[in-house]
Amino acid sequence: MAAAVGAAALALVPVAASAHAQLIGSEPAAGAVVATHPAIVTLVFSEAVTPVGRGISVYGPDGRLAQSGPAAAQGARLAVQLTAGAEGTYAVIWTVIAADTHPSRGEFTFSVGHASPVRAPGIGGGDVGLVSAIGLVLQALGRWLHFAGFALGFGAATYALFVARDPRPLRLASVGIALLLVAEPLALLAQTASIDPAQTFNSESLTSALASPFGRVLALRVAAALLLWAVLGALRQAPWLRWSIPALGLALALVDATAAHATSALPQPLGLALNALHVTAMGVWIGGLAGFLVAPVGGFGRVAGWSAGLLIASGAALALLHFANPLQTMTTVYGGVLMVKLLVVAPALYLAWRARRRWELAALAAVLATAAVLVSLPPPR
Amino acid sequence: MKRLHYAWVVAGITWFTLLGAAGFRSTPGVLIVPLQHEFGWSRATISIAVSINLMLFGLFAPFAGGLMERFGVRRVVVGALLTVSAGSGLTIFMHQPWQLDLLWGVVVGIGTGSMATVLAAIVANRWFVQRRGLVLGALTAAGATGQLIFLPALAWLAVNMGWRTAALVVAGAALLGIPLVALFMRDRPADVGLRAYGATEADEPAPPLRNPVRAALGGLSMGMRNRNFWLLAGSFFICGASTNGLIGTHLIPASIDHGMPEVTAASLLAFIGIFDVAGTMISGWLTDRVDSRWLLFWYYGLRGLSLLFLPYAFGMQYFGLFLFIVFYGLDWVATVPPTVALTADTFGRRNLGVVYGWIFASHQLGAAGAAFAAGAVRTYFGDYQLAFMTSGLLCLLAAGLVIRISRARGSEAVVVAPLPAASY
Repeated sequence: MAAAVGAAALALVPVAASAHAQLIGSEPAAGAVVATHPAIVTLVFSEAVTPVGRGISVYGPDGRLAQSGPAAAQGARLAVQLTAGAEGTYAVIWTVIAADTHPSRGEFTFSVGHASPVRAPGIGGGDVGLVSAIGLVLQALGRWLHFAGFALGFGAATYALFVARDPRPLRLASVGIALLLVAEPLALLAQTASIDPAQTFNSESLTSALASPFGRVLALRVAAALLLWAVLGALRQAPWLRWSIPALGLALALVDATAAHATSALPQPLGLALNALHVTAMGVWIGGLAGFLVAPVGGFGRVAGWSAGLLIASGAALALLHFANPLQTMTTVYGGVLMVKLLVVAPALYLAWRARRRWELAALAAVLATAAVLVSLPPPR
Repeated sequence: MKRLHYAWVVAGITWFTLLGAAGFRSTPGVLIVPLQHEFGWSRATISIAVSINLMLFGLFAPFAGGLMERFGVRRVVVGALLTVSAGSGLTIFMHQPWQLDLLWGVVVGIGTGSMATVLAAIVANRWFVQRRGLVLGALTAAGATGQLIFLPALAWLAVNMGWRTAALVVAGAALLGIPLVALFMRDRPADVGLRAYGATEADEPAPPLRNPVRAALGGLSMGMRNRNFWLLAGSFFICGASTNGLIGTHLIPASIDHGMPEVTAASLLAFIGIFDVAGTMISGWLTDRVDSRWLLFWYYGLRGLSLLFLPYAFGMQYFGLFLFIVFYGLDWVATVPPTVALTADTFGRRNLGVVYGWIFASHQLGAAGAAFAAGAVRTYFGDYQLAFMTSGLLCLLAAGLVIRISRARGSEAVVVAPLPAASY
């Protein structure tokens, strides 16, 4: 089953482009003053998008919706038909989920004839990384639980079955499965809250989030958690099935990689592999460490050393690829959070070197939290 | 000289009975459009009768098990055939929707429900010790195939000769079955002075005669106190939801949604039926040899993965869909033989009929629930993706459930959970 799952996961993952859909152009352009009333507003994004809710909301000078029906997507283009309206300034709000499952939103205005005061209910300030602040917090929380669940579920089980050969850490795997099953619904709410906190539980928003590539990734993640639960139950009858646990973990890491930040600097499969390697190494280290605290064996030091090495190497490569120039580490939110992450990684490595395992685990949990924020933010490149 | 063991005669009669019962049950599907044309009833109105029919087909199963214990298999099957014949024959006089609900829904539902999978379980377990799984597989396959092979003929009759002819043909076929069953069906091997096929010791004695309703309810309360019952009923609920409910009802409209002609879409289901015969027979054969929990683990696990694959298969044109059909067809009711075997292991063969009846009722509840829910999802979301993926995830859950069933010896289980009605 492991091989089947691995092959299926590879075949099924959506093709990710770069990271977070950004608006790269529109017709009418942002801030433009056009002479005639346009029939259609068209938005062009940096990658293929799925509209969430209406997708585009155009408000007329009177502050009312000035469109007929929701927006329609065609690849990276999103278009909406306008109803005839008065002269003045129109406000446009767009809400989408990108091919790589990241939500984003934004707004701009254009004017017909002449500018006028804007009466539309705009997004206002306070957005971080193209989403609402509360949405970003929920996204980060969901990812944190997901990563922790991944590490405990697959990492601790792999440690128990292959390193310690002791069933006790398998209890951690059940905790990991529970974390994964909590994290995924939270991730769904984070999507809708990112687009519009007031519409978090709106069924139309939830529907469009589920219909987007995010919905498929969500299903595959829940599938991985359920399969792990099924396999754990079957181990007594078929010990050889233990091989499917690291295989399933790898498949989930690949699914996660498609929902992480691919980089335009590398061919896509390479970027996916790098992301998956990073997540897998994290799971082996943190899950193994948690398992070690339950059932310590001497072999763990070597496993931890190797996975930490891979984690740092793949992390460094990903970081380098996400910045166009060193200055961006100072000027972007993404860069700032990365700096914080590095500050937490240092003590974790020191504690690992001194083999202070309990503190090492606490430090790594903090690193995981910064990583969860980082994946929720749009990288500079 | 070695004569043919009478168990095979009983199995053959049962096979034809199940084939017919499945065909009778599926007839309302063919009648929907003709009835709509003649009486102007809406599709929703007619669907109520189909829903009642489907629900009773399942919910009557435990009571049928109780009836067979009390009055014997032969009398119950003869009665059921009479019921179907009457229900089907009387429809030619109807002119109000409630009459359709009563006749096709209630009467035919109860009649066919009395000859459904519970009959297969009881016959296979009473008459066979060796080859029990294989026989059960063959009987179950008859039930699944019967729902498919008569449809073209019935549809042809309804279109060319009118729906009344089709209803009368069903009534006549049920009547023709009565002498066959009355002459050759026997309740127990002891009735013809034999032991069960391959049995080395004498039969379990026939249980004391019980009131069928109390037997059915006693079986339920006995089951509810056993963890294995919940695991079996829960996984079978998911089985019903992911086969009859979701794919059986919604594969055709989903395929049409994706631009496939209706006839092609309908033949997809027919192919599922063909692969299902092979799959269920193989599953029965495997049940005689391999741990049933292990089989169910794989069936549900692979079914879940293929459902998760389905939304992508629609994107891959015919090849992907064909792959899905083969995979899904082999697994369609392959779950029945291992589930029956586990029920017999846990509750003992003498309690199998009623307890399995409830587990099968859970199967039909799942089917009815999913048929409705998937339709609602389609209406509301405009797409089946969520329905397919949710049921795929449910199947993976079922894989985890079945593997946690504990191995129990039947006799112990009976001692631990004595039937309250046993002294009756």
